[in-house]
Amino acid sequence: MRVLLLLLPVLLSAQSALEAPVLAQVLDDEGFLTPVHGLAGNFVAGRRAPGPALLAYSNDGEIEWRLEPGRLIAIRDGAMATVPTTATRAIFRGDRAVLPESNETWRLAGDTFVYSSDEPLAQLAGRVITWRDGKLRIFQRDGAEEEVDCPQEPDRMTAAAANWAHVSIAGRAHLLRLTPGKVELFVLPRRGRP
Amino acid sequence: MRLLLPFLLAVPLLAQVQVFTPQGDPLGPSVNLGSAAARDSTDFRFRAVNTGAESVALQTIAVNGSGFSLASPFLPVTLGAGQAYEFSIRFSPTGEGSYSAGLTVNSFTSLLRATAVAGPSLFLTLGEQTTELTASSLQVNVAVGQSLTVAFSLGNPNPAPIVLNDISITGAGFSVLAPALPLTINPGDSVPIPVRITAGAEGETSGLLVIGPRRFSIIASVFRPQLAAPQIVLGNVLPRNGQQLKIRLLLDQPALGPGSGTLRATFTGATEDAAIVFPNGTREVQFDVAAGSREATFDGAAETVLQTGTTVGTLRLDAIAETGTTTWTYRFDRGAVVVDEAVARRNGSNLEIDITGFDNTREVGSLNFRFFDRAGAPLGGVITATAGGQFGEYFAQSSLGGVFKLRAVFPVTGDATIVGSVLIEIANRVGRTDLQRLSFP
Repeated sequence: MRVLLLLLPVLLSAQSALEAPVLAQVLDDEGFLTPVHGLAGNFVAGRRAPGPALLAYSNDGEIEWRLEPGRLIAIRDGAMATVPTTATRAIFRGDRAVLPESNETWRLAGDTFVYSSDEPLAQLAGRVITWRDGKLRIFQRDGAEEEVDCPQEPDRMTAAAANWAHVSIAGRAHLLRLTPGKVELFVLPRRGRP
Repeated sequence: MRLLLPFLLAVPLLAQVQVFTPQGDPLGPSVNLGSAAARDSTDFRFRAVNTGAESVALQTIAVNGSGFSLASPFLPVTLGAGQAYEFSIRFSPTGEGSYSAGLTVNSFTSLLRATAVAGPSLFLTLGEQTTELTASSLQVNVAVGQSLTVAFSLGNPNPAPIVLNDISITGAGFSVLAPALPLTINPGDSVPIPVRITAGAEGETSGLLVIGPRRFSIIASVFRPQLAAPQIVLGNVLPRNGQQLKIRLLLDQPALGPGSGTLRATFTGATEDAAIVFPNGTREVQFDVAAGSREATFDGAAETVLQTGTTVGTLRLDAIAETGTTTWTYRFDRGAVVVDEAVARRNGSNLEIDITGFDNTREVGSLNFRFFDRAGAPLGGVITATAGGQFGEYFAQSSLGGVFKLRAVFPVTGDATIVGSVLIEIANRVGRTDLQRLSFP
């Protein structure tokens, strides 16, 4: 079968064809969701997103998790699921949210939350990031292992986009690029003075 | 009656002046000033006080005797009721033995007695050189916050051993590491007595080192050291756009005291670039240097980073310290488009290609796409998009330098699954950038 590529009058003419790239979404020092524009190593923190300060946040490109005061939110493919909670901390792993204060685990099944504290933890799937001997080791989805120098153990790591993790090292914000073959640790500058 | 008047006046005036010893006792017909080291000079301060209700003229102060001397007093002086006049008598015995001298204050006379004994020699070691200190005082400069150890040592120039019962120092911030007492120093021996000076506030402070019969003044001038301009040391051999430039600041010499300064970035280009910032999100960052260190720190870290932006222009770094500024300048020349990430995907019957990168000229002109089937055979010819207009509009509104994200969408008529990969070229006025072949999953 012959393939016909319909070309350039359509290409680039749409408004969305060119844009300032949003690399990741991170929580700023006060817990407000903030986009990071630019590209690797040249980040510009954008304006805070509207809404309340968040207690925890994660976005691995598939599921966006938000822990707000009073509720836990998961967004996948535009569909949002919420569950009320008094938790103030959460750890997000793939489709699961662990609330350590109440020892609860919630799993996102489709667009519905399933209370899964009695379920065995799913086998770890996807990327795994560990720190040892001054290096961050990234085990990619295909099993490949990559590493990057990181003399001090991070105090926090959260997913910030499909290929980015928001890493706090000694209280300083960093972005860890997870793209296979391009793993690199960058400093994330704060938002400049207006 | 006329002849008697001066006499009647003189008697009460002389009786009004009373002399006090260095210990504060009224001076009698004789006083023992104690012992001092032979060949040393020791000052004894006396006070002449007008204890009467009337003014009195102090016309004469004199000392007469071997080993004693008097600094020339500014006489005569008139002392009002209760006023005092201080004067020093220096005892400089040339050898061991007993010494005496007559002290005269106006018409009052007292016998001064003192004994010269064998004393140790005091040496100062600076680097490889050791020098005997023959003066009675030493002045040193110490930076605020610094602790300085002065390498003193004792020797015995005499033919017989010396026994010391007292090695001590007085004065705030002064301490001496003395050996166990009593200390016997045999002829030819050397005993270290390091003196440590811890400088507090700016100004002058002094300590009195007592070594048996010897007294030695140490005057410390405490100054606030000014930080010299540090060198700018880059962690990246060849700076380029689109990177986080690692920067260290290094002093030529260790800092005498703590200090701080400012590292400032200035960018001059055709357009502004919001990404050119330090980690604090601005173009200025403070650096600190600890006393004794050559390396500056940035909020505790040994290095900082500066994002170099994605725009043609000149980047200047100024390391500004109290005593000067060092400057580093680099020009980012026009370059071909740099692609950071490119992803090809299918979306229904469409083929989508996302390209993230930067063009520091902000003049992207055209893009070429060449598609291949799954076997690697070309599908048709090169598809060219002249995109200068769209890029121009985009860059005119962007504050992100030359950064862009392009999404190219290709609607496919027919079986899109046979399309396996694509080769892409992006060109600006400088040149052409070839992307690695992208595969459609």
